[in-house]
Amino acid sequence: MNSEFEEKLKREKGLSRDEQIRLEMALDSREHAEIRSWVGELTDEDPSLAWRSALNERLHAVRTPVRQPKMRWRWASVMGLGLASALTLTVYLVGLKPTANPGTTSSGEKASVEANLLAAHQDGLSMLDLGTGSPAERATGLGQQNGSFSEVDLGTL
Amino acid sequence: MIRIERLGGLVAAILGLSALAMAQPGPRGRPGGPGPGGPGPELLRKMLQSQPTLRFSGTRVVEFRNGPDRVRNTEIVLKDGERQRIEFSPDSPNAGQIIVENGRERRQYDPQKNEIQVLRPRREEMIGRLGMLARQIREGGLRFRIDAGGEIAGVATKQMILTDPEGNVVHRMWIDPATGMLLKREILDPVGTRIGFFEFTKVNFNPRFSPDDFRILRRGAKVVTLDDLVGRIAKKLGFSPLRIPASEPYELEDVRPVDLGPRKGMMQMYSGAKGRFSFYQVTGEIDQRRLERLAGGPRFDVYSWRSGERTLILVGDVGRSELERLSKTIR
Repeated sequence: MNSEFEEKLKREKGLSRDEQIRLEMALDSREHAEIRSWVGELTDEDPSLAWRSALNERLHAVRTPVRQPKMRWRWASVMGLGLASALTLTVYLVGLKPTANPGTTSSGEKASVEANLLAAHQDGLSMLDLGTGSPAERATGLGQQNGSFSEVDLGTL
Repeated sequence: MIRIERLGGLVAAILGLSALAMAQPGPRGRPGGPGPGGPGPELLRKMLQSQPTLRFSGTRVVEFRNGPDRVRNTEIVLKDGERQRIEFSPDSPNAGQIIVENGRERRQYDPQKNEIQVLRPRREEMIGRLGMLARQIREGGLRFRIDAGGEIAGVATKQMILTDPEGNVVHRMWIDPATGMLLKREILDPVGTRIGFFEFTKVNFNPRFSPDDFRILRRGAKVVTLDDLVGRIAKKLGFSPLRIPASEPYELEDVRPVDLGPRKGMMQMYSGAKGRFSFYQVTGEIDQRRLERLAGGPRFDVYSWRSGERTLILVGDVGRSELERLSKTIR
C-alpha cells in the first residue's frame, strides 16, 4: 500500500473504484485468510457458573457505588421539590390568612375544617331530602355527612 | 292540634301551588318564566293531594352521598296514607333497621344498639320542601318543564325538571299522573352531578297490610329522642348540650358528631318555614371569612362566635340576620 492510500484508510476518506478493489484484494490475501480460519477454529466455551457468579458479584460491587449517588441525587431532587412546594404553599396560605384571627392553627387545617362543616351541612340536607335516615349513622356518624338535599327530598310522601 | 298544624302545612303547600298555577300561565320556555303554568303545578298538586290516601307497597333503590362515598340501600316500602314502613334488603348497609312513620312521629329501630330513635316525620318536612320549591318557582328562583318520563317500575310517568334561572338542572321528579305517586327523584349539585336519588323498581297499588306493619314493638329496646341524642353526643365530645329552644319556629331534625380530624365537632340540623340550618359546636377557632367564602357557592349564610375554647357556628339558608338572632337564643 502506498502512503496516500494508507492515509485515506486512516482518515476514512472516500475511496476511488480502483482503491476499493485494491482494498478487497488485500483483505482476501492469504495472510488474512489464515487469520480468519484460526479465529473460526476457536471453540465457543461457555463460562462456568462459578465464573459467572464471580463476574456478577464483581459487577454488582462495581455498580453499587455508581448507583448510590444517583439515588441520593434523585431523593434529594424529590425532597427539594417537596420542600419548595411546601414553602410556596405556606407563603400562599399565609398570604390568604386574615389578620383578624392571629391566634389560630395552621391555615391548611382550618380550610379543611370549614370545608368539612359545609359539607356536613350539605350532606345532612341531602339525607333529609332522601328520607332514608339511618340511626347507625346518626349515632356513630363520625364520618363526613354530606348532602345538600335531605332525606325529605328523596323520602316517600 | 298537631294534626291541624300538619294539615295546615299540606294545605299551604297546595295553595302555594295553586297560586303558582294561576301566576304562571305563560308558554313553555317563556323568558323569565318557569315554563308551562298548567301541567307542572297540576302535577305537583296531584302528588300532594294524593298523599293522605295513597296506598302501595314497593321496592325502591335509594342512593345518597356520605362524605366521599355513595351509600346505596334497597328499601321495602309499605305506605297506607300517612302510615309508612321501611325495611332494608339484606345486602343494604342499613340492613336490619326498621323505620315506621305514622304522621305524628317517625321511629327508627336499630338492632345493633337495640334502640328506637323517635324523630320527626319526614313526610311533613317533604311537603314543606315541596312548598318551598313552589315558592322558589313562583319567585323566579327556579323554573320547570314537563317531559315524558317513560316507565318507572312499570308505571307511565311524567318527568318534572326543575332548573335554576341559568338552565342548570337541580331536580328531576318522575310522577305517576294517575295516582300522584312520586316514583323517582334525582337531586343534582351545581355542576350537574347527581348527589342523591331514589327510584322504585316495583310497586303494587293493591297491597294487603296488617295493623302491626306500622308499629314497632320491641321490649327491652331503649327509646331515644333527638334531645337525648344531643345530650349523649355532647357528653361524649365534652361539649355543653346547647340547642335552639323548642319555642323557636324550627324543629330539630338531626344530631350527629362531625369528623374534623384532630378537632371535635358536633352538628344539629333544624328546619322551619323559613328554611334549614345547622348549628355546630367545634373545638378551637375557625376562619369566619373562609367559611363565608366557601358558603357563598351553595348560597348559605354563616354566623359564628366564640364561647370559651369552642366556636359556635350557624350555617343555613334562613338569612344572616335570622342566624344572628338565633345565636342569642341558644342555651
